[in-house]
Amino acid sequence: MDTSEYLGLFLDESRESLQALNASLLDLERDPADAEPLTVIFRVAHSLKGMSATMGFEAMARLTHRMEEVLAAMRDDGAPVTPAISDALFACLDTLQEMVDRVAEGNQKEVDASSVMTRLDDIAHGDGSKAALAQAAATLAPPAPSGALSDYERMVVSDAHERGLIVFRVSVTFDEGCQLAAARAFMVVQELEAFGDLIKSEPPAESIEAGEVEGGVAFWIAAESDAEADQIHARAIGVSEVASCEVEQLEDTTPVAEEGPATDAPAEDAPAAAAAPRAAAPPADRAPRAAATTVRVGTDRLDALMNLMGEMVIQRTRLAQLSGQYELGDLRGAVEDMTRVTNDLQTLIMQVRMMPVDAVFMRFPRMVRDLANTLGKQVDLVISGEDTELDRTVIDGLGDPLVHMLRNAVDHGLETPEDRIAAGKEPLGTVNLSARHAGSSVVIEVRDDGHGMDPEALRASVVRKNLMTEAQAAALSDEEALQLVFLPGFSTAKTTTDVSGRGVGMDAVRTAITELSGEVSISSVIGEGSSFTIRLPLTLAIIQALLVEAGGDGEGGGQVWAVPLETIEETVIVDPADTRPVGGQPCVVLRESIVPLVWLSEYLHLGGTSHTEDPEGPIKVVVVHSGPSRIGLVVDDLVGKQDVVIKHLPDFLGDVPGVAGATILGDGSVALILDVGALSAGVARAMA
Amino acid sequence: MTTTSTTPATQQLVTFSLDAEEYGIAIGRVQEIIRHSPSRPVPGRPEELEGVINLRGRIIPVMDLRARLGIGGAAPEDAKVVITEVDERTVGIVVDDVREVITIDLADTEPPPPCTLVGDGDAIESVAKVGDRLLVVLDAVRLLAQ
Repeated sequence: MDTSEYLGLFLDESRESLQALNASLLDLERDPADAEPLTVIFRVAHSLKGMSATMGFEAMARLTHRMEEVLAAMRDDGAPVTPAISDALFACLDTLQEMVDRVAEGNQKEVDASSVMTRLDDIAHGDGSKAALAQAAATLAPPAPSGALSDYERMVVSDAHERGLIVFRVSVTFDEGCQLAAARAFMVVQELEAFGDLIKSEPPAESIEAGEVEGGVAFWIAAESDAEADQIHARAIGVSEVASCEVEQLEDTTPVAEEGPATDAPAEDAPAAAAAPRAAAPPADRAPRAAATTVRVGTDRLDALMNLMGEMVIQRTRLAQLSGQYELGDLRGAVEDMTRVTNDLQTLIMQVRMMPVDAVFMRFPRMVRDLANTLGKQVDLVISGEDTELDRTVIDGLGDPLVHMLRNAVDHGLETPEDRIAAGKEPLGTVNLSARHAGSSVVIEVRDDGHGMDPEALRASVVRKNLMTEAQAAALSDEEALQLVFLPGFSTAKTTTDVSGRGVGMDAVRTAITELSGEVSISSVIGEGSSFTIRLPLTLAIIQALLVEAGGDGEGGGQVWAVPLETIEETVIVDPADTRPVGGQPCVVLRESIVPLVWLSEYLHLGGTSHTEDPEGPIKVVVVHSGPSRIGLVVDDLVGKQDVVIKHLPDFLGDVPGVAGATILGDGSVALILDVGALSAGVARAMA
Repeated sequence: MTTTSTTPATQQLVTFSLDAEEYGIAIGRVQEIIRHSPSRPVPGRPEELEGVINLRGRIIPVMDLRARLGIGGAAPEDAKVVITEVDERTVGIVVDDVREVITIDLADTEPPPPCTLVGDGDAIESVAKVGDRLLVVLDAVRLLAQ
């Protein structure tokens, strides 16, 4: 069977499966008594085994099968998950990951799984449960007559029995000529769910929804021990157009080896009872009720969609402008309707491109765990805001910088347990990774409660590295000293570990973040910890902007510039008499804070005569902020607010200071987009 | 049967003029020719860069060829822009008028006089004799170099 066309799908799904396995194993490690991760592990491992066997990847299927066997034996035995065991299991997952990667690369060489297999064998023999292992192997064996339960379902059934529930098989046939059999089946399910959770349906949910119910349908439910077959029968047959109904109670099929705590009377404490519905919950999702479905879309299609939408925004603006120019009754209404529709489309497409940051965050718990173990530190990684959404291109670029930052936090930020105790802290260090929306930006923070950064040590280090003279270093404020870590070739670690390398991470981090049009900032308190904050724009390609005119001569003739709306605090009209020079720079007092005034035409060398030493009439000021600083941009005129598609300036022009990009206005002309960050940095430098 | 390997003996050019002088660029480099309309100046850019224009949704830089070649003077009202492409880079070049597409014999070309190769003349590839006219063949790659 030629499976090559499924290769892409297989790779995607196996990667997702391995991710889920990693996450569940971490959960299990943290709370060995929790039954849910084990359930997930079995389900995922089982489907991974099936997939790899179908694709002909024997080694993967074998390894996964062995993992399953060992886990089943452990579960049946009630053996606890010791660190040695979880390490061995993680090693298996790593081996599987390696196998998947080789498949992706087209590397035919087999991964040597013998060492992990041996470790699995050791676990199996270690707690002397050879019998249980054989038993588990038997229950996991393939052959399943049609209509019978799969391994997983059988496990769920025996789980239900363990918790004191009864499993019924309810078979139902419908009247001939029944019109909406699928709907009838659904109504039967609704009746049955009064008794307990649905474990399985035959045929599967999708077939029932498609109306394939000629031979009748069968449902397996896990009901409370006081449920009676007669009651169930009565409810089911009560549904109209149900021709016949058969209720059969299934025997308890759990292996005889079950003794002890597992079969205690239902006077179990809450967790067990809660675990039972949860164990049955995953199959219940397969009931004839539409669960949320997802579709995978290639990123190139998303990019194409995005580009087309950008073009659409431009044309829509153009239409609106033309419609305003030529008064053609119906045209205005039609353009307004179209604007509404395209706005909705734009919002939706934006959302399509958004992904939760979790896509990046989810691999970190495992990474931090391994890192902490290697470095002998105790780390608790607390993640919050993982469902904050970001444009997918930004997400792609975030991975590496965050890895660097987390590694730095664990390696250089957090102290060893001994040092922490000596400092009066808990030996367990905390690293907080959080994401949240703030205005039209997304803020991601990596905060540790380690020993913080010492400005003095940084100053000394930069001098030692011959990156600055002593005098220059001494002139730095404490805050500026913290920024030194962004210098290329900088590291305060006395010994460089092979984990974080030479601390070149921060320089690369800043470059990467800048390329995403974001910014990184640091704050730190010695002895208490450090925090690195990344601020990113929500969407790269389309922004709202205020169009202004500058560089004219008072009668017009100026250039149109676009100022990103998110940088704008307010627009004011200022009487020249209210301006005061501060340090040579004209400023205006706005609600008790001093805002320096910058004539846009002058800053950009646009020419024109609008900037004069003594402006006569009132001046129009757009107050913008960049980081903590605010600047008042003096312009000739405000044109209007508009959605603007960012087009990058051609490379041919190189770096143009003050310009963040270009855009095409509704009338086809080109407007340049102001780089507020660069402008405010330039002004700060000039004022210093 | 004898096989003769031939090096390309001819070159196809698009020719245009600046004042009374004629120039040519390899046709393979020319994407299209449009009318010259006011371009958007970009602050702080060198003399030869007139600005940027919107070409069907793309932002294209426009070069003032007179400034680039050190000729001086201003473009006429009905000037044209030759959209030229080298690798991934697209640049429009302002010319007075576009003449024709001709094929020249490489045998009729000569390397440019050495004194013209310095400074603004570095983009000159060769000088061709076409009938009794002289055509300066420009090297698009050097012309569009940053």
